[in-house]
Amino acid sequence: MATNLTPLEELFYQECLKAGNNGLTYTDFSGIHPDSPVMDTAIAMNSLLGRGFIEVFQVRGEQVYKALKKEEIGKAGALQGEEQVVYNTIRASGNEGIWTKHLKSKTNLHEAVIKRCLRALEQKALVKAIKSVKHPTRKLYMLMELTPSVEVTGGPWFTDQELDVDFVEQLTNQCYKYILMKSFPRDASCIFTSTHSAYPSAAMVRKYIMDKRISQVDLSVDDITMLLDVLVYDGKVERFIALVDEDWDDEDMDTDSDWVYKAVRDKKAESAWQDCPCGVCPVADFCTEGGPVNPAGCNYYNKWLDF
Amino acid sequence: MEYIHFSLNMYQKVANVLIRKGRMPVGLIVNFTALKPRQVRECLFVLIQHNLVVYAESQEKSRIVTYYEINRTELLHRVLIPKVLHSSQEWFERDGALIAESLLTHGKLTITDCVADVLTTSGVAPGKTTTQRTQLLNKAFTRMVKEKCLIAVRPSDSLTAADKDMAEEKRETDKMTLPPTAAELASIRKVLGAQKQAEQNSTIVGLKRRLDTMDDSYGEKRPRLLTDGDLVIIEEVETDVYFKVNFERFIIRWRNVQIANLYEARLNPTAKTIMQTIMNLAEERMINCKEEHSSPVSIMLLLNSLPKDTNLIDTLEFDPSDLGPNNTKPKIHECLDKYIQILEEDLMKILKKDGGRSGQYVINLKSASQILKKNLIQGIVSARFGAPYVRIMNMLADKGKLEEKQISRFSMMPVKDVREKLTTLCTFGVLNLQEVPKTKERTPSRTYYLWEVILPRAADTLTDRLYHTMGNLRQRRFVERAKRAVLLNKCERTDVKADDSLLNAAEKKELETLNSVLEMLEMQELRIAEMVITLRDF
Ligand code: SF4
Repeated sequence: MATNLTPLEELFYQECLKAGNNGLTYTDFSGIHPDSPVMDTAIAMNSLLGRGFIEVFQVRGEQVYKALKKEEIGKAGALQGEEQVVYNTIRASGNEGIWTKHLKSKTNLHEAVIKRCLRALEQKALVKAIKSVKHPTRKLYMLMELTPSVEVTGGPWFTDQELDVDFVEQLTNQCYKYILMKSFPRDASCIFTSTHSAYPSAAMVRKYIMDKRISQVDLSVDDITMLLDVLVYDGKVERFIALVDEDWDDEDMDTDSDWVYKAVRDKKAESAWQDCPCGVCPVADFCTEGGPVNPAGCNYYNKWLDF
Repeated sequence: MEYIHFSLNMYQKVANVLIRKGRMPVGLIVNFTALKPRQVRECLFVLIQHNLVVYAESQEKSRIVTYYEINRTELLHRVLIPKVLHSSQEWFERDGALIAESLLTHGKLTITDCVADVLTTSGVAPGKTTTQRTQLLNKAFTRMVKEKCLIAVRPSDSLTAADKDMAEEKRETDKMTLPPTAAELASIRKVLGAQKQAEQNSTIVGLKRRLDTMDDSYGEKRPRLLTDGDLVIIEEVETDVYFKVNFERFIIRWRNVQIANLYEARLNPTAKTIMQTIMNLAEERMINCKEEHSSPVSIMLLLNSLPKDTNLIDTLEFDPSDLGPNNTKPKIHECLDKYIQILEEDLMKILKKDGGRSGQYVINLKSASQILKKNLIQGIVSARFGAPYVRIMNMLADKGKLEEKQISRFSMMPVKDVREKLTTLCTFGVLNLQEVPKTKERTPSRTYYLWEVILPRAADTLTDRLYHTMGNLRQRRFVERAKRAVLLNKCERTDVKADDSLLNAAEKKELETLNSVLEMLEMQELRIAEMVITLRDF
C-alpha cells in the first residue's frame, strides 16, 4: 500500500478488507490478534477513520468497521467533517442516488450545511445531481463515477426522464411483425399443426431486433419482454408455455424462459355502434326525448342521414 | 317499442301503462289509459295473442282478481324480427321465412292455420298444385318445430313465470306440517328447477309419432327416422297445438355462429367449419344461452357430418417431422385429429375433451360467451377511443386492481396520458375505481386509488347505452315519417297505390329519400340490437 500507514493501521485495514462486506468488529480483531495493545489499536482505528480508509456502522449495538476500496480511499479522506459525512451517505446510496430530503434526515445536518457541502462536493467533481423518472421533481445525488440504475433512468425507454413513446411504438410494431411472420405459414389459408415449435421467445425477438439493427440502444431480454407484454395487452399476440421438444434443443438460443409468443391476426377495430352518431356522441348523456338535446332535432343525425 | 308493430294508438297506451307502472288489473288500466273497459280488454286480448302480455290470477277475499303484466323479454326480442326472418330464410329457405312471418304477424297459430295463411298471402308457386305446396309447407313447419325454432304454446304460457313458480312452491310447502326451513325451501326450489329443466329437455311438445301408411305418391323422400320392416314411422305436428317463434333458439344459433366465427380470423376457414359443425351437432341439446358446456360430440360423428367441401388436408402446414420420409400427407381423419388438437390447444380454450371419454369433445359455452362479450366491448372501446385504451382495459382485466403508476409502467405510456385515459374509461362506464385509504382519516394523499375492470358491470352499462341509442334511432324514425305524413297518407290512397303516376317527381324523390333514410335507421337499429343480445343474452 502506497500510503504511509503504521504497521498496526495496515494490519487493521487488511483485516477489514478480508472481512469484506460483513465488516469487522473490534472483538473480531482482538480475537485474531490478541497481542495488539488496546490503546494503540484504538489510535490506529481513529486515524484510519479520519483519513477515510475505513468507515464505521452500528450493527445491533456494535461498532462494525468496513474497509473502503482503494480507489475510494483518498477522496473521502481528503474531505473534512460534514463534507465527509455527506459524501459517505451519498456513497452508501449506491447507484440509486439519494434525495436531499433523505440526506438531511440521515445525516441530521442542517439544510444550509448540506447545501454547502453538496456544492463543495460538486465542485470537486465527487458527486453529481440526477433526476429520477419516478419522481421527476426530486433532485437525487450520487457519486460521480456511477451510472444511475435502471430504476432511476427508467431503462432504455426513457430519454431525458421522459418515456420515448415513438421509440416504444416503433419497436412494438417491429416485434409484432416478426412474431406474425413466425406464427402463420406463408400460405395464408394454412395453419401450423400443433407440433409446430418455431414460435419465437423473447430472446429470439431480441436477437431479431438487434440483428436487424432496429434499435441503436442495447436492449435486454427483459426490455423486450416488456414490449411483448404490451403486445399481449393490445390483443395482438398471445403468450404461452412452449412444448418442450427434446430433439429440438437449440443450442445457440439462451432460453431462460419457456414463454413463446404467437401473433393474432390483426382485426379491424370496428363496432356497429360507432357507425351511427349516437355511438360517438359527446352529449349522449344529456340526450332525452323532449329535452334540449334530442334525437328528433339532432344535428348529427341530419348530417348522417343527408344523402 | 311496441308502437311500431301495433300502430294503433290504443295498444300503445295499454302497453305503455303496463311497462311503466307494472302489473295491474283491468280496472286500473282503464283508469290510467282513459280507454273504455271493452277496448282495454280487446287490447289485452291481442297482446296476449302476441305473447306480449301475461297474466296472473290471485284470490283476494271472495273474488279472483286477474293482474296483467308485460312480458319484457318477448317484447325486447321483437327488435330482432328482421333478423329472425332472415335467418329462417337461410336455414329453412323461403318456406321457413314465410312461416316465420305468418307466425310473427299472428302471434301464435296452429300448423293448419299457419299453412293456410301462408298460402293465401304468398299464393301458389307456378307449376305446383295447392296440395303439393301445402305438403311442402307442412314439411318446413315440422322441421322448424323439430329444430325447436318454433315452440308450442300452452295455455299456461300466458301466466307469469314468477307466479307459476310461486304456486308450485306453495303446493310443495302445503304438504308439510311445519313451515319450511330455509334449507328445505332451497331444496324444494332446486327440485322444481330440475323438473323444469327436465321438462324442457324431454320430447318436443306438439310433435307426435305416427305409422306411415300413405304411399309416396309424390316421390319425395320423407325423413325416415325409425324403420321397422316396411312400416315407416314419421313425426308430425299435432294440428290442435299452437306454435310461436322461439326467439331463444334463434339466439342460441346466432351465438353458435359467432363462436365459430371466432376461429376464422384466428385460424382459418376450415377451423371455423369444424367448430360450426360441432356446434350444430350439439345444438339440439342446448336449452338456453346460460349453460356452461355443450353436450359431448364424438369425432366419428363429426367426421361424417362435415360439409363435403371441407378442405382438411391442404390447409395444414406440416412440420417436416410430421410427414415422415415419403413426404406423404396424412389421411383425412388424421388431419381432422390434427385440427381437433389445434382447436383444443388454442388459447381461447373453448373446445375441450369430455372428461375421461376419448373421442368426445365438449364446448365450453360459458367461456366462449365471455370471449364474445369481451371482444365486443373491446371493439367498442377501440372504435370509440383507440387502441391504447384497450391496452389499459386488457391489462386490468388480466392483472386485477392496479394503481395509476403501475398501469403506466406496464402499458409503457406516460403517467399523464394514462391518467386521462383512465378517467375517460371510467366515465364511459367500463372501469371502476376503488379507494383504499392507508390511514383512518382518509386523506386523499394517503390513499391508494386502484382501478379495475368488472366485465359484467361494463356489459350492463354498455347495454344501457345501447338501449339509449336504439331508442334514439327509433324516435328519429318516427320523426322522419311524421315529417312526411302528408305524402305517406297520399301513398296509402287506393288510387295512388294502383297507379304511382299520380305522384309527381318531387314526391317520388321525397319518397325515395324517406325510404333510404328509414332503411338506414332500421339497419342501424338492428345492428345495435345484435350487439345487445351479445351483451345481454349470451
Ligand atoms: S340523438 Fe343526437 S344528440 Fe342524441 S345521442 Fe344521438 S347523436 Fe347524440
